[in-house]
Amino acid sequence: MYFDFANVLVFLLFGIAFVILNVAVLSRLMRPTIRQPDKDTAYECGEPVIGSSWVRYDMRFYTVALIFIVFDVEVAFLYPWALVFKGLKNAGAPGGGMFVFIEMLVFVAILVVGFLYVWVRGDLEWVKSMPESQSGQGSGSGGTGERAKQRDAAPTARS
Amino acid sequence: MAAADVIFLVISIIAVGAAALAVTRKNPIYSALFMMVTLLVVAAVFQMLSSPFLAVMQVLLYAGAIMVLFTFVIMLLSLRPEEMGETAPLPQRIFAAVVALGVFALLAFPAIEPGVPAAAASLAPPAAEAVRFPPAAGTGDGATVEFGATAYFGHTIFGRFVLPFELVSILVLAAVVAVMVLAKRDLSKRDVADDGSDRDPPPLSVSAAHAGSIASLATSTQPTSHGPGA
Amino acid sequence: MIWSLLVAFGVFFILTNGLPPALVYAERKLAAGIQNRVGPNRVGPYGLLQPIADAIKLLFKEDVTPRGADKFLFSIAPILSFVPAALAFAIIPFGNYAGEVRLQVADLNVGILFATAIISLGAYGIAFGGWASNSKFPLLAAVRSSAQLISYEVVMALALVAMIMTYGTVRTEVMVLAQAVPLAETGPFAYLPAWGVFQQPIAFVLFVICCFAENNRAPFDMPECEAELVGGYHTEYSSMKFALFFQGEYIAMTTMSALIVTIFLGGWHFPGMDVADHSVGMGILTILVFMAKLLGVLFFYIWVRWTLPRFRYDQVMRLCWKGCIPIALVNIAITGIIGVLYS
Repeated sequence: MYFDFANVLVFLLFGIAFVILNVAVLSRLMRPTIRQPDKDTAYECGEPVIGSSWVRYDMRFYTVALIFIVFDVEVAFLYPWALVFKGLKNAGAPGGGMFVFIEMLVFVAILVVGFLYVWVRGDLEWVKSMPESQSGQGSGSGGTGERAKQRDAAPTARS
Repeated sequence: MAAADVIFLVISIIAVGAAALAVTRKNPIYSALFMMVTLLVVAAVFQMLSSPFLAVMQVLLYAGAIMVLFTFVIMLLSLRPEEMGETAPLPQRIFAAVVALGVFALLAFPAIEPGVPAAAASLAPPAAEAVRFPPAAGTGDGATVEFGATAYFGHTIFGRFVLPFELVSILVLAAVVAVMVLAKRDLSKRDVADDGSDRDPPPLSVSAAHAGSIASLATSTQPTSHGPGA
Repeated sequence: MIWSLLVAFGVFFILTNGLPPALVYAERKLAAGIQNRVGPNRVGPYGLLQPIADAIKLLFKEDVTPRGADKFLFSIAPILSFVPAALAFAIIPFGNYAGEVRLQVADLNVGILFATAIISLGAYGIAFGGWASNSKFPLLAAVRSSAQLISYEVVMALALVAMIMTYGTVRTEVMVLAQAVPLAETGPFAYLPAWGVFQQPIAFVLFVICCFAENNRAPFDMPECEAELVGGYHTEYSSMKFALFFQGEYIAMTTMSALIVTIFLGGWHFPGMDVADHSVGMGILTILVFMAKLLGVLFFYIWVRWTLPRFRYDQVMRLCWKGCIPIALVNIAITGIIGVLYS
């Protein structure tokens, strides 16, 4: 087993060596370097650059990343389960294979409750309701379940 | 020294060095980068402790998921230079040092106290338990379930630790709900906060067809009042 | 020992320097064919030397780092994108044994999980690359793309869980052997091999969708949709750094195709082959079978790219969270019920 991981390490070293050879050695020897201030500006369709581009952006990416972690944790438990659920059935674990299956069913069901909660609240909705925000109520505050239900009930509200 | 010792030494040096860098960097994205290195190296330590499944989960969950979230948050906040690199006040730093030393002592305790490894060993499943659930032919990871293999985790979690496993799902559910509440509260607070704080981005759901579209970028650039070339 | 080193080097060389140029050429020629054009035809016979000309051109290009960019992250981002893509290939069994030599770089006992873990690190290359450029289009592309990558990673993992349940193993080599039997003892299905695609068609479709999304290929090429984001996360990159991103993309595509072949299309096995035959000739034959399947999947990749229009970003996310994930969960439940009742 150590041997196989050593092989992976060798593969990794090949990769790093290849990159360094290409970028730091081969290309550095061949490429020209002609400095010009205009070359160093960021690309903005030919316009002068306005401000820094390190700005704050949409919260939804953060939400997606958080839900992703929850699912990743779930999957981490699913992997060993998927591997043994048949084996346990045949080998007389407490209650047999059905027990292990129901165990996981309960586990996933509890997480699906959380997933549905997110879904019903409309956090999986990438395009939020536009007309609401235009009607002066302040957009993005649709935090209550009621508002979320309204949104789900009126899909036409999406632009 | 055996080869394994040399490898462990190298790994430890990288882990500690990267951790030190993660703490001392002023730019949070570098802290995230070096923390990722630390987590990857810890995965290698798990592998050396003959626990490949744990090593892979370390990479998948910590390096591949949680650090991605950290990176997201750092990119999301986009702290300006004057907002980062503020050193904490002295009492806070002293307190942090004390806590860090305490945690270190707690972790180092088993190494110096001879009674602890024995007690820990008595908690570990007896060797016979590893073969209590022999996988049927054609299932599981080969004929025997070796310690640390994926199937070993399956047998242990779903045989011996059923209740903790189910409780984990409750914990994760609580996390989901908390996530949504926290994320939402932030949003609604920004909506009502009209005290003119120009640090707050505009309401975040105004973007049109695509979040992060050019339109939303333009609107969120304005109030942060960056001068050209900032 | 020396053989396994040679195998590792050979695989690495073909993966990084053999296949990408061939794929670039194939992509351009096929795209031309689909769009009723001629495609590259000037450099060498039938334009065959075009990829080499491109590579030389990139070597001679000036390396520009935009002002205000984060220089360190800007430089290592291509590495973070390139290395994981190649590393994940290490667990692919691309043939049976040729004599004593096992035709696989590393047979880990965590097998396929290693690949998923390494692939999940690929998001950093794009995220850091786009962020470090300090330019608006790359940043947008980076954020979009990392969100897309992590979302589809979940679906990929869930599809994999169904496959692990079916095969009862995570080792790629054993997966291939498990597919080297007839689908049924008797009846019409006895003529079909027990490939994953026949046993788990839903997981197969989900997995293929994820492969497209994880590779940022059309119809999921959000990070570099030219019409909206110029060049995407590598807008500011030039010279060999750009080449590494470009190459990394094709390597990732190859790795994903190899995963599809190994998990769903029987790996190096073809019905009628004797898996116990470890002769050198048979070993070479298995490599050829694997390559044929791999090229078939890669052709499918290119075909889809030049046939389907691009999704809108909200459609990408909706497909993942409201389409694929529920289906994948139901698929696991069905597989579990069947597994518990009839096994």
